[in-house]
Amino acid sequence: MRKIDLRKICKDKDIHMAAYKLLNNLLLLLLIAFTGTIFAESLLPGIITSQIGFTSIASAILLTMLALIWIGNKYQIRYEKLPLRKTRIVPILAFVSFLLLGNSMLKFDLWENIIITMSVLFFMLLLYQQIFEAKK
Amino acid sequence: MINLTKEIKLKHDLQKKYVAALVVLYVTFLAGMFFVAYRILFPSAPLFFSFSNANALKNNLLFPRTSGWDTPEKGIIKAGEKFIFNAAPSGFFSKAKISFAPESSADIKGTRVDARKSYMAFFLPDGNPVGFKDGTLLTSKEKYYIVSNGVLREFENQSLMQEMGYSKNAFTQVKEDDLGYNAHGEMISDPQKYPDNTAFFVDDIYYQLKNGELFPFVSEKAFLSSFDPSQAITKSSDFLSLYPVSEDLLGYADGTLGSFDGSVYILSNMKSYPIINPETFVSMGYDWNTVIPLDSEEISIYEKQKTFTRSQMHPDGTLFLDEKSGKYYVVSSMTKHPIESDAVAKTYRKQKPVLASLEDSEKVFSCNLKDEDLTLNIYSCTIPVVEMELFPGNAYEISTIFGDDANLQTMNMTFRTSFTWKNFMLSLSNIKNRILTNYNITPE
Repeated sequence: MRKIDLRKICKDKDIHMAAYKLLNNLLLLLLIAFTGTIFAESLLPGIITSQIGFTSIASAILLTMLALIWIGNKYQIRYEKLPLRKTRIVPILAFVSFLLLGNSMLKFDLWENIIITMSVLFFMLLLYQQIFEAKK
Repeated sequence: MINLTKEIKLKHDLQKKYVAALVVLYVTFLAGMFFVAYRILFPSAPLFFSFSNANALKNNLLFPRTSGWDTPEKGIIKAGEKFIFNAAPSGFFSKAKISFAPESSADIKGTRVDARKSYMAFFLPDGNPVGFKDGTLLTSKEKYYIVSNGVLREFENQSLMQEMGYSKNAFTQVKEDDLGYNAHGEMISDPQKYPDNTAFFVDDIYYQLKNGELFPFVSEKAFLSSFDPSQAITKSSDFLSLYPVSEDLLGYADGTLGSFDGSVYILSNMKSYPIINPETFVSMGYDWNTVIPLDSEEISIYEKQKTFTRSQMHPDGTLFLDEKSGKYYVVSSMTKHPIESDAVAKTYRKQKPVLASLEDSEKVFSCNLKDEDLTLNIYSCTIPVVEMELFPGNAYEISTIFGDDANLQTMNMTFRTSFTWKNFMLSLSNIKNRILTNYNITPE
């Protein structure tokens, strides 16, 4: 029977934890870059994607998330899920989405644009609540 | 630095390594951001052509040719033959590096490469001066003419002309010399026989007579893009029984810009070319104020083409104006025809011209090919293009004559922007203008 080296397991875990912490930071930076790219592209299509493709950033985000999920599952890292209405990020996300959606429909009349944007945001919110909060 | 995982505690020695790695991560990220910002503010445009795969979509150097417009087969360019190609990069650049990779050990070292800048259509060879447009009514020295199928046909006398329904006021007074740009044709002597290209106005619809058939204009606006209302002879409905009425509709004057459903189209030879984006529209020298709103019927008579990009030439009917000399040119069948007379130019001026500069387009900037370091059989040289960038136009014409037979495999042209404060400010200004154009705000 193979002998298990407990010291090595501990060391691996420490390294994985350090990697997990680093990957969280990397994910934050990638998401900042992704958001910045979306904003810049909505203002001037092609300004960033002519240099670096959306696919590259999206792939990097996906790989980072997969690595985080893998380490998280391996060491049973769990976070408390906050209800949507209690998170501070929702109003910010709603405002950002409002700007991006509104910007993408500038060819519509102002009121058409506002009504469509508000409707889309409202349905997105309902959908989110149905998917993630209905289980409670 | 933000600690996103406060709950996870690391051992002291690993914590130090983690902080170091975090610093590296942030520095790398910032370096990446700076690199992307540098590429945006000091852009480069690498352009390429492979002769072994001449039809590949990734080829973005345009129209490599020797004589005619065909690409030299397998890149074979004979000694003494003029080899030309075009490049239409997007942006403002400082220099352009041109390189050729001949297949064999052809000696092209020292060969001079010339570059000029203007619009690709403005580089087209000069054709014969154009005459008055078909259907134009002219008068000189008490003689009255109509331009029919390219030739001037004189009315036998004034009373015949008036009997046919032509209004004296519809005829444009020109000098006798101006009439020399159209050949003279048969005299009009039969009042029952209208010459081709005569315009009629029947029941609120404009028609033009062609080969004994009446072609209706799709709209009044379409008729007015070529003619004045007074040029059409008003007739009653019975007149339509005298000639067969064609099912084909006539559209706008060639080279007209029209908009429909959020897109701008160039209308030429009954084809519509949707312009890919506002930047291309501006780079082609067009003016937003000249775009005519079209309705669904008007656009439907045109055969829709692939999207029009800056890599394409202005289509037939495009009017250029050399600002310095005030001379007009019109594009037709891959030729640039000068308009030598003011009177002739007036008949084309319903369309706003694209401003060009003949003098600037003839200024040549050169470099001599050298062996490229650390590469085999690649010859390159760099041309400063800062001055040329200020010339009107969006395309370069590169030409060279090899002293030796050259069997070109590939050729590259890379436009770069120098890292200077002036270019930085210029890039910011360009970005601002592009954003304004994108939001349909006229830049100052």
